[in-house]
Amino acid sequence: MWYLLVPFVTLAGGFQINTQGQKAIGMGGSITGLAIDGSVVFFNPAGMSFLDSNYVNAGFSLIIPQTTFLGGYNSSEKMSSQLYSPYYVYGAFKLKGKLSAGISINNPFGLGTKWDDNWSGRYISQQARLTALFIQPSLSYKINNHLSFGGGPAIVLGAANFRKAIPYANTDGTEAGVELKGNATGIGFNAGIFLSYSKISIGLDYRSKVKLDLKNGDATFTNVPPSLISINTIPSSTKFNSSINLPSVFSLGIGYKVTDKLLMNVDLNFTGWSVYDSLNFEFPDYPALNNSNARKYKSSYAARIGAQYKSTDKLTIRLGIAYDQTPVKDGYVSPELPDANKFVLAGGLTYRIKRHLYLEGSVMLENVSERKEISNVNTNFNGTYKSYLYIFGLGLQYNF
Amino acid sequence: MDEPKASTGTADFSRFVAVGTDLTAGYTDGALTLEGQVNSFPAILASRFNTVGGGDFIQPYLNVGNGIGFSSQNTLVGQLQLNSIMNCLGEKDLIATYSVPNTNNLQWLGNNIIYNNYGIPGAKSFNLDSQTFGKSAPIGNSYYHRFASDTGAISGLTSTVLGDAFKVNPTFFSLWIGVNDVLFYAQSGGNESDLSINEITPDSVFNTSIDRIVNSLTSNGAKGIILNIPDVENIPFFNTIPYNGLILTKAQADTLNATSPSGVSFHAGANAFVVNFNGTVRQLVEGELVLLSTSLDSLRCNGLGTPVNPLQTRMILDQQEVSNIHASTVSFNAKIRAVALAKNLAFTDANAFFKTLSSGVVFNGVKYSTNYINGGAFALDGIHLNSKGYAFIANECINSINAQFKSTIMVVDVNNYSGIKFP
Repeated sequence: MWYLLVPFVTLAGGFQINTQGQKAIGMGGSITGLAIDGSVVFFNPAGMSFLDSNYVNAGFSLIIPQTTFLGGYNSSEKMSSQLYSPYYVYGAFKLKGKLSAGISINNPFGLGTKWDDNWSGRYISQQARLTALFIQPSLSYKINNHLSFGGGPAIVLGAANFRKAIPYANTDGTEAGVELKGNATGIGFNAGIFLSYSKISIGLDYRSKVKLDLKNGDATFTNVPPSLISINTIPSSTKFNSSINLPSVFSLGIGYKVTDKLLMNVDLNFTGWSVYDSLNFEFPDYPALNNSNARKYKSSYAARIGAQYKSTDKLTIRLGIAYDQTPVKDGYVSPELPDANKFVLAGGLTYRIKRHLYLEGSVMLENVSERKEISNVNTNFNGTYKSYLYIFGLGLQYNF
Repeated sequence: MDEPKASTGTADFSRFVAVGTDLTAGYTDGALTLEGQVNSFPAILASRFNTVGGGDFIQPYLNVGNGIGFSSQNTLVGQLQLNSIMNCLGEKDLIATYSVPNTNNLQWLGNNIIYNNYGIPGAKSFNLDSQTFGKSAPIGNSYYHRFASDTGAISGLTSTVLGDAFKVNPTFFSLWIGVNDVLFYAQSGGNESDLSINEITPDSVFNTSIDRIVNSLTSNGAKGIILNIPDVENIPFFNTIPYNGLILTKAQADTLNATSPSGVSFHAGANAFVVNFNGTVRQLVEGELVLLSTSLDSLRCNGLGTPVNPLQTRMILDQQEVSNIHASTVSFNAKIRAVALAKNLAFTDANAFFKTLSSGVVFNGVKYSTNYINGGAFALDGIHLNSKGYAFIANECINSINAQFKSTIMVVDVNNYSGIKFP
């Protein structure tokens, strides 16, 4: 009857990526109230104190997005096929006394969209790519058998790449374009509390916002009509600065050990997306090109429910569902990230290969609700988006 | 996702004929060209009518090339092209210059084809049923003469634009007429040389012409769409050079003031240009318009618009002339609206559209305006539209048609049509 419990699991809205561990994915991201593997360093570092051994977990996911856009002008247009592969590495170790230490390396934020170069939204986005690598060393201190707290700083390395067409045509009709490319750095922290009493465990975790500063990026303009370069309207290349605010995430998870074999967890996440107010680009040598694009994200909630069932000595299976509210308001739905409320269905398993060594896998389907943009504030680019994300993950666990 | 289905509603688009002026023919960049014809607003409309049972849309195509137009001095020219040049201040600049015309284009095409586009560059409302309009210039119109079914070879009288258009046996028509009835006057700076062709059409003539045209086009039950006339203020030819575009330093102002006639004075900054108004030298006032045909280099470097070298009245529209244009535009537009209502025609308020465009319209991430060159919608002549501009007009028409006839025809992606080409 465990499948009746399978529930609303969620993947995060905006450009949050929820593929931070095969167990978490398999339960729809619902894991903050549990301490069951090395991913706890990321989900709630305080949980390290309640792990039953040392853990090393590593893995990756393949994300295959499929998005269709139907504007008022053409027949529907499909996003180019593509593949993204966020990865993670975790280690959580008992130190002497009441202290545990761990490290988390993963990609909790990112986005990738790529449309045909000649599509109807080409002046807004042809390609957008944002990756963020979080490196977070952490400590956890166990106060007593029921309570621990933990945390650590997060060092963030980001990379961004945007490409779009510019509506200046050459005499042969071909158009100019621009590519913005740069690396960014930022710093944040992760702190949590873990409580355990009898069959119930509770996790409270706060991951801070991170301001990614992108300095001295390269803006390359292509195929610009020579006359526009000669009258200094557009350069052939220049430098740019930008910054992107990654939001804070506050999570509450409650785990319940229904039987020795069945474990359940409910998660609520509050993501402080309102920090993503606008996306600005500054061109120090060409101030006329400076631009500010309102994003006006609103903070959003996600609810997730997951369960795992140890069906045999070697095999544990998981299921989860989630509902993830979009942070993108009407008027700001844009093709570089056509977000909407998501329903998520996930499943996964862990298989013991030999003593201490486990193979883990997961499958997740994100059904992104059909989203109709009637009047985009920035671009007046309107139409209906529909997306699915297919996510396949594989990982290894070594515990000792 | 289901793609929306196009439907005809209560109209029948199977035989479509377009009647009008330069703006219907696809005239752009100072000339009629093949590329302009291919992307004329009725051709864009017809491409969408094809989704709801529309038939062929045959146009009297020119040869490939620079096309043919008439300069303000009435000489034959090819289409305008942007050139990167050094202006008189020694700055790199973009200037539109005429290319070589292809005069082969003026030959008669014969009378064995019925066309769907009877947009005649230069046509005024009362020309459409004129039996001399098909003669060669200067009596007739060179553009209609090309494809008139009868150029007057036999009887001396020619076929009429309306008569030829009616041969399509139209089920649907577009009519955009009346622009030239005021534009010629405006373009000539208020008909300073007193040519009858540059007079504003009297209201009575315009009104009876419109009635005759619409009665004729609807006589077999055809439905249609009618467009009104834009105000000159929203056309770059009339609003690119500001009346107070004389920018002076303190020293320059002092020098001019020393010899200026009474009533004319200058200060550092923006000053009103000076015009020789029938012997009286005075400064322009707000609301008076300087035509884009005025030499920019002369304004910049040769003291044009100063007491040394005042503007001539043919280069400007004075308050009285602007008021004459307004009065006729308002009157013609009232008539057009009334006819549309009386005949249950779809109506596109082109005047309102250009007004909206003048404050900027964002289409799929691209901002368009009525600004010369960088506004993206007007042709290099500053009066006509480029293909993107005509696509906007087609979309306005489609929206009006859908509203009037309960059809569901999709608008077009304006960005996919050609616009200004930069060297």
